[in-house]
Amino acid sequence: MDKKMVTIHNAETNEIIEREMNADEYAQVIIDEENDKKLIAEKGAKAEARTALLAKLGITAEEAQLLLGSN
Amino acid sequence: MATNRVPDGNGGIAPSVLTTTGDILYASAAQTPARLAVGSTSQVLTVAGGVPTWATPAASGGMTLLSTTSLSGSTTTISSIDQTYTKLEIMIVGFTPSGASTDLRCRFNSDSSAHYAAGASSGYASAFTGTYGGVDYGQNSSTTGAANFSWMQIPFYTNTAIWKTTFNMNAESLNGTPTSVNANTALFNWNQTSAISAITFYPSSGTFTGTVYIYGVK
Repeated sequence: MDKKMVTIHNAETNEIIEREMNADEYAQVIIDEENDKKLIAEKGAKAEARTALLAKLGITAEEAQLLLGSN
Repeated sequence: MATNRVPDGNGGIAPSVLTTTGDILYASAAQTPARLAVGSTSQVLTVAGGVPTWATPAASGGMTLLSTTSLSGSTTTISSIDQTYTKLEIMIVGFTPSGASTDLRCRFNSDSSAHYAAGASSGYASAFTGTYGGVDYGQNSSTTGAANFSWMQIPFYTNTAIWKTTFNMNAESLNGTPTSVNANTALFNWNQTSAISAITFYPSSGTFTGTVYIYGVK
């Protein structure tokens, strides 16, 4: 496990705690990283599909935007 | 007419009742004269318990600094946020991630469930599929963090009847130099009615530095 640090600042007492992440917090980091990878992969797949569709239609991205009326 | 008395039909009230400059004469009960000592500077005359009294007017509109927190490590949580204000104004100065192209994210009350929806301009629909709120996007690591600034507003953060919406405005240094700064806006919604008492900030990867100032607005 990487040594990841968390800071907790109690705004009422002004107490500041700095400690290593516990198991639950570290598990959340892993979940977040997996979600990010999944989103990046999905974006990449969409971009590839878009590029392939434009090539199939024989138009540019700008021409596609004109057709759809989007900005 | 008797001298040295405030005249009335019953012979008047002794001036000695008013002992100090600024004293006010009032009736503490029917036909019972009483002295109200002068209040302090800026106090206003009001009524409590059926009699006049001086009181300090409630603050309104101004911003009160609730906390100043240094961002550090992988996450920084600000807990026990004062619940007596109407809106939070959060200034994040010098957000500087350890790696390139890093987002600044936040969570309310440690909620990491899919309760967050990012929004953009008018008419943009977004489902509550996010597990965090995006504050700033694509910040590069920088040696001039002073160029990086985010301003979050969270109105009605203690209201337990509505979902919460944030409005975020950012100026970010793209290449570690103030000569190249990107300005952007973002907002997100949190579909929970709980009052916000804790906010966790964290970078999308690595560690971060910077300073968070939380202000309360009445």
